[in-house]
Amino acid sequence: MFLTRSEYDRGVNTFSPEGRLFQVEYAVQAIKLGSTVIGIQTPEGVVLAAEKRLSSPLLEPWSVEKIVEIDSHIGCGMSGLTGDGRTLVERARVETQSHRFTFNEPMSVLATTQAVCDVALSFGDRDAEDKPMSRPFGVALLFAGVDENGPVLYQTDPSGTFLQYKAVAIGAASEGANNHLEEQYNPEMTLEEAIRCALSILKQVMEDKISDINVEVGVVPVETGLYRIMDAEEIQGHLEAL
Amino acid sequence: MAFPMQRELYLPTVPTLTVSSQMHSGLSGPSLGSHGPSGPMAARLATGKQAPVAPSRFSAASSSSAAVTVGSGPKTAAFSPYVLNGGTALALAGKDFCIVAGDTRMSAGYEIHTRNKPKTYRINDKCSIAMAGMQADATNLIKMLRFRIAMYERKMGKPMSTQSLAQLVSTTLYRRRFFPIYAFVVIGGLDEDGVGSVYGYDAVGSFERSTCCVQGSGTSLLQPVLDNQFDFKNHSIKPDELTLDESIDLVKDVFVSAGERDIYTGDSVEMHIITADGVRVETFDLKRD
Repeated sequence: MFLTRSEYDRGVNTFSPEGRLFQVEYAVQAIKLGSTVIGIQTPEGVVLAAEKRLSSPLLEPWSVEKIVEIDSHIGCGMSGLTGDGRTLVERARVETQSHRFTFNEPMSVLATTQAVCDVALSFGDRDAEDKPMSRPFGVALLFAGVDENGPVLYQTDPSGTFLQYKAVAIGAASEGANNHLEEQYNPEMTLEEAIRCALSILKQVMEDKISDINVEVGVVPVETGLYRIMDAEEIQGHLEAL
Repeated sequence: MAFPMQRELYLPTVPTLTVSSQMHSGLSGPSLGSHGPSGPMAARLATGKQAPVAPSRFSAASSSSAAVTVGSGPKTAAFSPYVLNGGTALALAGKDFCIVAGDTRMSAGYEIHTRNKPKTYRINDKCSIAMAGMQADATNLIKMLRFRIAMYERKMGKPMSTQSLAQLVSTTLYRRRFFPIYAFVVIGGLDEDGVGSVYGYDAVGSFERSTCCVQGSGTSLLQPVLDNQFDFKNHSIKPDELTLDESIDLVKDVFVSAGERDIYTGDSVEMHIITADGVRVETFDLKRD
């Protein structure tokens, strides 16, 4: 199978005769090497929970950052090549601030996700303007936020596709985690239950033993409409309650 | 209206040059180079005839033709991109309504160009814009805004709110901070809570939300009257807020009064009445003198 591909997986924007872009598909595979991130949307808000892989006991845990703030009402979880993720996060931050500057209102989560996906396929011809990447972005993102449509959760992938989910997982253990989510998700969940649900699934799928330093949790409650990252103490509280 | 304007356009009157054939014998035009004028001037010297006066005001300011100072002292070629077309635009905001109105006369100096150029532009069910100043700039500004608004509606999937439009107009005007758009904008509409809101601007995008704002040639006549009769400023006993019908009558009264005193205001008024039901357009005539 690989032999038939070899002709067509060199150029980043050359279709194979079957109509596939192998580099984009390989980029999707890159996400499956990334650490697991889970997002759950509830009527009370949205939660993001991410696994941090701490490869050495000498590593400073705070320097591994998988969940970041885009704007005061949007958080973003990333899995795959985090460096690529930061480029897209930067773009999302610029777009949301520019929207506030021009229109004096927060940007919707949908429009933010759309703006980021617009960049996803702008790779290839290095001479062209606005095409700073020579290859697809090897990262999947979860955008979680609260806007005028209430709490929402979107997932993006390297092909520039984005989909809205009630609950979804990306990264190495996404398959198992998604199965768990399908079993455990309930549209009437409270935010508290969603946080516990996300942590308990992470606990099951993570290779290392879960603790307050190797997971990250970000929430955007409807009540405040503001993104917030949990500190170790708060995470510990939830882990003890599992 | 404190706005920097160059009022007159001076084009150089190029005197006919009589150049002796010896002066440039053996020299072709461009080789005069560092000794004398080049370009069109050199061509004139070479032919000994007067070159046609530059047809465009833009090229009149270019180096060679502006420097023509043979005989009668220096001449200036000014770039004068602005005209004032006059007219009055205003907006009033009530508890649950907004009125945006402007007269339809467009003039320059003592000439009326047309009696039917409305200054009011409907944006959506929630707001309208009115503009006085230079009609060419106003027309161009509204085209730019309609483009931005259409892109916004497709991207955001909702109509633009009055407060977002207010910010957009400000940034659009400020982008041209050093070559301002000569239009004086007033926006009227309903805010997120359905309350009437008015935003008034200067030419470079400074803006303020208020309940009553007049722009254009009738400003000095109408603004103090509306401050007193609509906002009830400086009243020790505040009467009840004006209803929609009373406000419409007030708008008609003040426009008739402005038409009596201001030569740039007249012909007719187009009025956009914005309520929760949408925008209703009404017109009424003014004197045509």
